[in-house]
This record gives sequence, C-alpha cells and structure tokens, in this order.
Amino acid sequence: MTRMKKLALRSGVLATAVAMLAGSAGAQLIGSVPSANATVVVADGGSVDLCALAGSATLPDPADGVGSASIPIWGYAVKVGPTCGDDESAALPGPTLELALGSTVTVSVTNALPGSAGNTSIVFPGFAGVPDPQGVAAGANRSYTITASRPGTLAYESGVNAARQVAMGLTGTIIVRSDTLGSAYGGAATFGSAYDQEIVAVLSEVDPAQHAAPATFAYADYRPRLWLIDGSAYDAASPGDSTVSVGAGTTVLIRYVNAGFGHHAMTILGNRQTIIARDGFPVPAPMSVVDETVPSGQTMDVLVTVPASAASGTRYAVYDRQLHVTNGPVYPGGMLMFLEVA
Amino acid sequence: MREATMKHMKKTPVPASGPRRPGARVFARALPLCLLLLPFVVPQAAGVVNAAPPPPGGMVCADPTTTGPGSATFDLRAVSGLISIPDGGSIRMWSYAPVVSGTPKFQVPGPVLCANEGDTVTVNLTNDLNRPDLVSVIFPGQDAVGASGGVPGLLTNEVADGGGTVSYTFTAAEPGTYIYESGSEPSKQVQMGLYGALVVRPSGAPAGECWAYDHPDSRYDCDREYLILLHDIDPALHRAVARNKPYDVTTMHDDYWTINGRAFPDTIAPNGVTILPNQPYGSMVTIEPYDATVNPHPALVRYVNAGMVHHPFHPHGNNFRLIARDGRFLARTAASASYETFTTTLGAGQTADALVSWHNLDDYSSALNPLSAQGPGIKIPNLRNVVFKDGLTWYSGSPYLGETGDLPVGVTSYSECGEFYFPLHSHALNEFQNSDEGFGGMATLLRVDPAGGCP
Repeated sequence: MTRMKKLALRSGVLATAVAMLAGSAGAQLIGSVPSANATVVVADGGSVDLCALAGSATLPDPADGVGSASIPIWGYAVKVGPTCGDDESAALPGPTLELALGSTVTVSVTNALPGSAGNTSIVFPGFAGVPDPQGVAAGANRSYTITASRPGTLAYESGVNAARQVAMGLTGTIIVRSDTLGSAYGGAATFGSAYDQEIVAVLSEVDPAQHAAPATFAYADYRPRLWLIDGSAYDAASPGDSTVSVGAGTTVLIRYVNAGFGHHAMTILGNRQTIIARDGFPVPAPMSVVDETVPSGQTMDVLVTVPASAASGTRYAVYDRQLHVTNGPVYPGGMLMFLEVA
Repeated sequence: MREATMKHMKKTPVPASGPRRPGARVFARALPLCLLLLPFVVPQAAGVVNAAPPPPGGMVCADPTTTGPGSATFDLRAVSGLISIPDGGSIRMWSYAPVVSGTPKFQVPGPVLCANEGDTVTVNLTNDLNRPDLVSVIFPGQDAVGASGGVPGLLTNEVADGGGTVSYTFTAAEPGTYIYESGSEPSKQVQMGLYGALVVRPSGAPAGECWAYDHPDSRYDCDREYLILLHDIDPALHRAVARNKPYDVTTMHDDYWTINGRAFPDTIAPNGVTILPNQPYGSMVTIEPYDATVNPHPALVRYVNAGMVHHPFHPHGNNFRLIARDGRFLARTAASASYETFTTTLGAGQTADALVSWHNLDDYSSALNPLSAQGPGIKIPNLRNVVFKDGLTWYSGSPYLGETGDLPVGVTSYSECGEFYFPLHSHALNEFQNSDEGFGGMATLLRVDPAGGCP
C-alpha cells in the first residue's frame, strides 16, 4: 500500500448522493481521493463485517525522524474473503462507517489478532447499546446492532483491553448523515451546518515501544514520538499527502475524532474554525475559535469558511498547538496538515 | 493553598500596588532582601534608553517604532539572553526584542503589541540569534497576513541571521487578545521564548470608556487592565540549545512555569523592576471592592497561554467572568454568553478574556460587622495559620479589609493597610513551584485594596 493521503475527503453532496452500490458486505467504497481507510456506506438494515488483525503502517522513523519505519499495528479492515488476512490488511485508522439517520445496521468483528492480544470487541460510544467488555477469542466473530438515532460524528473502538488495543489502532469513525443533504446536522441543530466539503481528522499518537510490544508494554513508560492525523504524520518528503485542496468561497467541515490518549489543541492559522458540535451533539450556539482542545475520546465538528477572495495557493495550517509537530525530534512533522485553496 | 495565608513562601518581594498609585512611591519601597541576594548574572543590554518608567502594575503596551494614522509598526529582533528564576538560577531564552533607540532590548516575553481595530499593523523582524536557525512570526487569529522579505518557509516567511528583515503586515480587523509566536520550528522556538501578546482595541467604545470588545458588556475599568501570559520551560531543552546539542522535544519535562516571563514570587514585583532587567512585566492583579457608585467597573484580565501544555488557572477569593475566547466576544445572538467560572483551562495557544470584580459580601469592616456580631462560623484567623516561617506574613493583623492589627513581636507584615491577597495561579500544582521549591512557578496574586486604595 502506498503511503497515500488518508484524509477522507469528498464533496458532502457527492457523499450523500452516491448510491449504495453492491459491495461484498453491502458496503461501498467511495471517495474522490484515494484513501487507505476506506469509507463504507452501510444501508439501513445492512451490515458490515470487520476483521481485527495485525499489520503494519509505514510512518516516519520515530527514532530520529529520518526516513520511514514499519510500525506494527492492530487495525480494522472490511472483511472481503472467507479468512481475515487473506485479502484484508489492517489500516490506521479503521474504515469510516457512514450511516443514514434513523437506520439500524449490524457491525460484526472477527478476532484475527495474535493470540497474545487476547479477546476483542467493538464498542460504539454515543450509541445505545450494551458494552462488550468480554469480547470474543481469536478466530471468533461477534455482531453488534446499532441504531443511528441522531446525526453527527462518533467513533467506534475496541472494548477489550482498550489501553493496548485502541493504542495499536483498533478505532474508527462513524458518520451519521443528517436529514438534509450537505448539512452536518440538518434539522437537529438550531443553526445552519451546511458544508461543501468534509475532512475526517482522526487524531492519535504512536509510542513505538508500545507498538513493538503491545501485550507487555508498561504504560508507566508511555511517551509518544509520532502524532498522526488520520493515520499519517506530516512528512516533509511528501507534503502533498497532508494537503487538502479546498475551494475559495466554500465551507469545509472538519470532523475531529480524538482516538489518542492525550488532549490536542487543534489550531488553524490564517482562518478560524466555528465549533458546531461535540460528540455528535450540536453545541448550544456556534463558537468561533482559533484553537480548541479536542479531549481524548471526544469528537468535535468545526466549519472553516474559505473566503471567496482567497487567492489560489493560500494555505491554512491545521495543527496541534501543543506543538506535536515533529516526527520524533524532527520538525516539521506530526499532527500538521494544510488546507490549500485551489 | 489557603487564601491570604501563604505560610511556606520562601521569597516574597513587595507587591506592586495598583496602577492608580503613584509609581514613585512603589519603587521607593524596600526591595525584598531575598531577591537582592540572588546571584544576579543578567547584565542590562547596553545603550538602553528608558524614557519613562512603566506604571507599576497592569498591562504595558510597547511603544510602536513608528505610528501613523491607522497604522502601527513594530521593529523586533530575535536575540538570545538570560532570564532570572527565583531559585537563583538563570535560563537561556530567545526573545523578540523590541528595538529601542536602535538597540534591541532583550526581554521575555516579547513586547505587548497593541493596535486599534482596523489598524494596519506591520512587524519587521531581524534575526540576531547568531545561529543557523531561521526565525519568523505567525499571528494566529489574524487573517491574510502578508509577508515580504526573508525566504518562504512552511508557515510563513522566515529570516536567517544576516538575512535582512522580514516584514509582516495585516489588518487588525477584530478586537481582542491574541498571541504572536514563532512559525519556525515552533516546537523549539516557542519553548525558547519567541512569543508575545497582541492586543487589538475595539473601535466601538464611547469616548472615555474602555471596552475589550465592541460590546458594552465587555466594559472594564480603564486603570485595571492586566495580562497573564503563560509559558512553561524545560531547562534541559534550553541547555541543549545553549550547548548546540540535539534538541528532542519529545523528552520535554517542564520544571519552570512563568507568567509574563517571570516565576512566582517575581510575578508580583512591579513592572520594570530593576532587579529583573530582562523580565519587565509583573502580573499582580489589583482591584478594589465593587461599588455601584465609586467602583462599578471590573478589571480586565487578558489570558494567553503560550506554553505547550494546558494550564488550569484560577483565582482564590472569587470567580472570574469569562467574556471571550481567541479574540471573540462570547455572544449568542444579541445577548452575552459570558459566564462565571472558577477554574479556566487555558489550552496551549489559546487566549481568553475575563472580567474581575470582588464584592465585599461579608461587610468585612469592624464597624459594620464587628466580631461580636458574627455568627458562630466566623472566627478571627488563628495567628498560627497566618504567620509563616521566618516571621513574614501577608496578614495585616486584622481580618477586616482596610484595617490593621497587632502581630506578634518579630513578625513583619507585607500588608500596607489591611488589603487582602488571594492566590491567582495554575491549579496544576506541580506548576506551583520553581524546580521543587514552592511556592513558585505559575502563580501571581489578586490584591484587593480597600475602597479608594491604601491611604
């Protein structure tokens, strides 16, 4: 897999309008930008089967920030064959699941993790349902049924031994589409939440020692050296991977999902971001900020307005103002991306 | 920490009085012996001309290099220097030095840049670090910042030592409190001290009134405007820079925490105090009890967190009213959405504005509320709780605001006239110290004077 941009980017209108073509699991990969973490549209009454399996991610070398390294991960992949791992590979983060408002869907997970990982399960914070702290053993499968009762950005993640399994990458985003085409919250919000383009920005960290020994790592020593947006660290050798083209005069929706363990002070330079929702709940009133904390485990939706007058090539840096903008010791890197006016 | 009973403080400079007091009187007060005993190694930059001393308390706007109708220009140079910390050490810092009479004056933090809403602001930066590092300034919260000169960098134009001057120009379009900081390897350069505050004043305030924003609910007492600019320091990283060793920010482990470039108790020393030549800004907040007639307007505190971690900041003695975040008044539709809060988490890079007033709810005067009339729950403080070691105390000898009383023989009080002192600090209490020496670090005091101030 090339280390392609993983910013799930597309027109909101397009995303909603794309028909749910038949996929191997009733799902359809869409996206105008090639995306390692596929977006999966799950129809009402449909299902998606996920594998939880070990793999690796090519990331900047966390030791000295020079070159790249293959980092062991555990991740989710859409199950397409009879045996997890034959046709699937783990990705950081897991596929984004896209649900229609009011739909009821089934998500299943097959535990294809190494035996040392123990059981695994999936929990769906923000959805009604019973948590599954027991999970299933290697080789087994379990299904969960969730109902998308309100629009917004939510997450799913491992519910067993989460300190290890979530850190290794067993996490993903759920988008529940609103009742209104091209609107994040539609009638669920008392204010407008229309957008032209959306970006899913899953925030996470990598401590390479934890990834090297996920079953035995001592968390007292937890010290990340890589900071990721949607599974990628900014890499000066391939800055295009962390650059999203935006249109002048458009509104960009950024769906932040903090799947990491630390808070992140997400900041935009040269523009502002208007907070419209947290954890899938519209805020009482939109709030304009430069810099806002996305706490661990929270989602936050913001709108960025690109002025119609913005010249082509204008860039807005989006980054963690805790200054996790290095790969190991090397700047630039880390939790940094750019919106670039087309 | 108990209010006004700071028992374990080791070093205690005489606090700055409020801005309404004549500065001469404050400077005439004896400097604390403990600070005079510090091995002071920071020389004053040569050739500095300081025309007028700053007011002893309150935020001090830097003089622009040049001003014109609707414009302000600030010349800054990135230079290296030392700051003093109250445990006797000094730390290598980089700063945006204002150019005074042609000479850079190293100071931490960078100068407070003030502009009026709608002004064209120009910042000219020259690199005098004598290092290979390129430097720059970014202005989070300002849109369409133009940059000329220098060389294009990742976030903005940058300038090398000997590379001339880079100029940044923007329109200060919206009033508020903002940060400016390095946009060149900020994980190193902001840690090293390349940061400062930018204040844009609203155009909508009526003559004679001070508003923080274009909204009457942001009105404050013109004489009581304060800056609390937070920063955290890992001295090992600073040593690595000073010695040209590898800099690995992932090893960061802070040991010093500053407000306006000083660590407590230096934070409560006056602006421009001579023993802190490179740290010109104090941060003690001085107010008087609210009174609908004589003192109706609150003080304004402008918070800026230039550090790399979040800081939970709170006053003792009262709540603050948070009125803005990142330079935007907290309004929903027409009505104010400001709110009372005790602890405010200031995220890394965030700014916030708070209005501060103090109500003498208990009628703390011996005439209105004598001890004999007090309920069983109100007791005169036990002297053992208000006198701290070495015979120094903030307690006046009387629990009543504006009154003094007897203290044990040998005890020295810092109280001038029975004013109250409340801690105003980061409640991440590991930050309430100077490398394990407490009290210190990210703390200052909220001083409540009796109505009219000390006589």
